[in-house]
Amino acid sequence: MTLRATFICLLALSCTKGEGSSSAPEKTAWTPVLQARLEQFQGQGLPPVDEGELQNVRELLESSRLGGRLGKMAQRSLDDFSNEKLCSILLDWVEDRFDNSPLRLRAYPLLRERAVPEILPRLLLRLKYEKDLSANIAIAATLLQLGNGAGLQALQNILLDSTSDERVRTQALLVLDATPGFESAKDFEDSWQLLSAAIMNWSRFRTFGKPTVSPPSVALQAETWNMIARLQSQPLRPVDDARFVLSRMRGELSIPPLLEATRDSSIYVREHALQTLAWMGYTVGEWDLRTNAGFVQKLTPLLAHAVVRPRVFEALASSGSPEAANLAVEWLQKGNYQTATAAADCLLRCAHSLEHFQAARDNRSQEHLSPEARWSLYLLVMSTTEKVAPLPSLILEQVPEGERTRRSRWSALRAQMPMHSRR
Amino acid sequence: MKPILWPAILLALGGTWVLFSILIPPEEIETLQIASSRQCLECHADVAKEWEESHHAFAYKNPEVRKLSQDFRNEECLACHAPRPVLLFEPGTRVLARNADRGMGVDCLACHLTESGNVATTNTTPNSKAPCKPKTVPRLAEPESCAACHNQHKTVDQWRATPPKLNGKPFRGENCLHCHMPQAWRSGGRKGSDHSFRASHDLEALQSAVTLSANWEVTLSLTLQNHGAAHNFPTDERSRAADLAIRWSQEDGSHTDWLRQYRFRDPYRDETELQNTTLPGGETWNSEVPIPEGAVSVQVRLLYRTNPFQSDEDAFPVYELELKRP
Repeated sequence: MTLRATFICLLALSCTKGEGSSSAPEKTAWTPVLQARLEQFQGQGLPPVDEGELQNVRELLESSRLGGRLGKMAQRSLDDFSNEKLCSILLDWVEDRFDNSPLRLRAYPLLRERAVPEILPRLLLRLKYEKDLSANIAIAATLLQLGNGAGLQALQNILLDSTSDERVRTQALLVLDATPGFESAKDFEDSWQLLSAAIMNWSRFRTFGKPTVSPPSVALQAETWNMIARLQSQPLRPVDDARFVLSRMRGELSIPPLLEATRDSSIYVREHALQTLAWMGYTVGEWDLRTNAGFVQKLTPLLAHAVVRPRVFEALASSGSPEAANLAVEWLQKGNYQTATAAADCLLRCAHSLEHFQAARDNRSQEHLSPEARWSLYLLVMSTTEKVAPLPSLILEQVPEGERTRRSRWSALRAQMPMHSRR
Repeated sequence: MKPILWPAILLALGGTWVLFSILIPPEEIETLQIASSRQCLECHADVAKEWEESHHAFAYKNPEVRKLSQDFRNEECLACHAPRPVLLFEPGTRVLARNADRGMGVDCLACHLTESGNVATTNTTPNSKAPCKPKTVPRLAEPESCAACHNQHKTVDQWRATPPKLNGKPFRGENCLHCHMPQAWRSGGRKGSDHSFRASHDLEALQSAVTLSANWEVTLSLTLQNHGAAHNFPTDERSRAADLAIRWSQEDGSHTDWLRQYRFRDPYRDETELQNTTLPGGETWNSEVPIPEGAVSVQVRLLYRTNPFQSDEDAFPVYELELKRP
């Protein structure tokens, strides 16, 4: 480097006001987390399936329904399969979107009968794609059996739908009756109350029955990492599938690996891991309180990386914690346009103390902030019920309706902030 | 003067020059810190006007998109409808969503902001005095930049698979800009690239992509030729469909309903019973339709739909032909 270039570089470095250059946390290195985990768990998830095995099970399932000697033989052959192998074959089958035969739907009850915990991620994904109502009931029932309440909503929807077949609605009720916790229900009204409470509990805490579960098996961890691997896909569908599943698993099962994945060397894996945590909402904060995991402390080092900073704030907002709000106040001041927007949104979702509200008051008119950021701060100040001058109409016009609605929803959800409910 | 002093004098002079060049820049140009595309609109009013009419500007506000994405509650749609600058990502890889100014859709920075904070341009002699410090970035014009969003449904792959020449004449332009950002002249005689991104929402663009022809002989011969779109027709969103329909008229003035002869469309993933019937670049589709007895004329039309359930009234008529019995 020439002397002149050195001078220029030094001068430039001293003059450039980098985004939070003075007190940015130390950078942690990105590492191939996903690759390492996939190697660690290789061959430990569900066993692989070949076309011949799939065809064999199809035929056995068909024959088993015939009754008589042939039916019994077929049933015995099905019984000879290990639960793991049979589940793997049945999952492959129900995932075949080109198979529209009614026989395929019969795979679900058998899957329920022989379920092993590691089917959870792939079975959860069936909730996104399966259209048949009876199949949805079987999926929900199997998930409940595995301690997952993501299918409760499907059961409620079936019960609510007056156009659905009476037989199907009865099936849904039978599943509820057989579910632990619903034994006390004397009639439909009781079941309905219990179901509504269970759905609310699931959506807020991701717990069903016992608040905590035993550590996941190696096979389930392997399947969870296989699901996380979809986050690196360039086509969006596998990414969306993974986010759908991971955000519907119990926090104990999905949050720790997602937190690990936020340090992956692939921008897509870490960004989508952060995004999934953000989509989970305050349930992340509830998990954090329950497990003392130090969610905010684990994510804070990532703020050193400008490239993921806005997304880190989105994930931090799910904690609903005062520590996240403190970081948001800091970066609201020193963050760039995008970061400051995410920080303002985080503050809206996490503000606890007078200092947090004061920061919102002080910054809501700052012209260097984006219209979205100003809208978030405005909503936060509004939530204190104090009289606030309306935002200039120009700012309002620049925040599209969808973004306003999103922030109004966050504002309304403040009542469910994890720390609030504990205080 | 002693020869030994010369190096000292030269060093002193050099040092002074370095100091001067650092401390006194040749001209005071305030460098703009680019944070939002709103900053671009002020100086680039002509370009802004073109862009404001484009579907890039409309990417977030489009009611059809809002409906499909539940007003962007489905956040995965944000990645392409309110993207971060494409130049921050590896060429050809997809973009991720930004947090601010989402209402501006695919805004100026989505294409023009570089990692170093400069503004990228394809102009080989950028204006060094402009406050936004434009910098020539050839990658901006490469199909990989558009692929970040437009290859989710393989449009750029289709373009790559298209022959460069058709009937001995150049067919596939060197990049997407060739057709979608043709040369434009702006106020003051300035030359630039048209930022209205004319494509499937523009009749002229649709007509330059395909030609519909019909011939009444023993049968009604229908032909649709993709001679202008160097990718499939229709392309990109799976929801897009082009329907070719006919309507026969009888001597007494009565006529049949519109009868759909063919639908050009890449079906949704769960429409497993349907095939991809889009028409690749350079290819021709033909069909022979039996002529009903007593028919005296026929109307033929090609309707372009932005979603397959769109009514005929809302669809875009690309071609309407009328043939009489010879």
